[in-house]
Amino acid sequence: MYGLKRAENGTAEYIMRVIPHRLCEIIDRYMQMPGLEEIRFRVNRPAQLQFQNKDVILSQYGAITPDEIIAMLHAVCMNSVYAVQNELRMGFVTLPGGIRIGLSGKPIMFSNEIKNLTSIQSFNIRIPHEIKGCAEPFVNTFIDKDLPASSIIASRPGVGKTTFLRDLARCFSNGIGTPRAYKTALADERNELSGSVDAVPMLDVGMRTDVMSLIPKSIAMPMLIRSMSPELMITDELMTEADFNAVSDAVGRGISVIASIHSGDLTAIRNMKWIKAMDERGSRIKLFMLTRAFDRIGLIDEEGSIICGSL
Amino acid sequence: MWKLIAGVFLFLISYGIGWLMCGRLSYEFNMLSGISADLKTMHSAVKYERKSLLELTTMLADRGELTEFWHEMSIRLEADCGVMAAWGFASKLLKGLNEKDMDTIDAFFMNFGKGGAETELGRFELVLESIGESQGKLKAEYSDRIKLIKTLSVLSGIAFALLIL
Repeated sequence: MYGLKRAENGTAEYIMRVIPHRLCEIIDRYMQMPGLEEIRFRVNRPAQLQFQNKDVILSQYGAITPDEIIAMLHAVCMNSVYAVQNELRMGFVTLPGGIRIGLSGKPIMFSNEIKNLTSIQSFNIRIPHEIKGCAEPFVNTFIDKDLPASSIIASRPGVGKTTFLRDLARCFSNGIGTPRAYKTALADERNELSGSVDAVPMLDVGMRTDVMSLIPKSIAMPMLIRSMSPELMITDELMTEADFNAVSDAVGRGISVIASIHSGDLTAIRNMKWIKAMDERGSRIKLFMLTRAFDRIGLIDEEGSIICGSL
Repeated sequence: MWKLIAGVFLFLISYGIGWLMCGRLSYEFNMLSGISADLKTMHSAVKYERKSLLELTTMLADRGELTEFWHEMSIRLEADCGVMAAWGFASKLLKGLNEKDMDTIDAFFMNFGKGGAETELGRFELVLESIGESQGKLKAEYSDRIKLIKTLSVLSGIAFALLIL
């Protein structure tokens, strides 16, 4: 078990540039309080502040107007919607400081693909939680014969998989708690692991980490293998058949892969077709469940034993 | 002797006035050429690099044609004052353009950055086409008028000089 310490990265300034001016003072006050995870804005409804275990609705400040939402969009896009169109299609934009802003609106579909997101209705500003050191006590678990062991980390949403993976990348890349430092690559499809702006990681992902962000994992992973020859590949939220194939392919090429997946059941993951196929091939992937109680996290393996302490 | 000096002096004054008038005429043409060149650079940077407006203005303030204008724009944008306000301040530096061209550029900047890449690139093409047309017209008028003004200034200078002598 490990106590989480929130890293100070001065995100308030960037957030204040984006939100409606009339709410800056009150939101700034709430941002001083610990545990703020999200700030949500919805057209014709009051702003909502989501803390770890509660939420606060700023109803006394009135509803967010459509004009305020448009102004927010322009501020988020730095007056250049076209420049972040690729991210908008995926439903989020990353600001300097690794602040991720999720958006919802009217997607424009073309040939089964989202071409653009228009009529934005809601914003979800996710406060980045770079918790340096949160994975350090667990690093040993991911090492097998002096090499990183291919592993899948599962959990329900909001437990901290991304934060954990980011710190794991930093540990392996910098050689913290590992036999040596490893060449690490991040296939960061949603730009959440590295929070890159103009391809420069805004969050600490380690000295020897190369990042490919905002493109599908199934494209990023082979590219990184070819161009950067990593020893360890880290990626977030496996979802599609193409993602699973990319992981199998990378492992088949002798690269260790640590990835996360949304799931609450390790047995179901073990029974997935692609995992079974890898087992048959002799490349057994370790499975872990990430759990969190208040500000503490723990890893549970397939046998149900708790690693690094007890819950 | 004094008459000769006065004659030469009058000739030079007349020639100078003609030169200034030509300068004024070419200023509008040069301004349009500068805007056109910078908008073409912007178009390429948006098309191939998806640079944001702030990045574009900073780049053009450094190596554009109308550096002063772009510098003003980038300063205002950096101060978070919005595209319309930034354009409002910086447009004062675009002197000498006729009303039609100014309206075209004004409409372009007032709506810049609100659409997706395809929309913006389409708008670039429209504004460049409109400026190109104005440039073409101005160029045709410009060469004829300049010739006329130069000839008239030289001839009137000679006439004044002869009258004095």
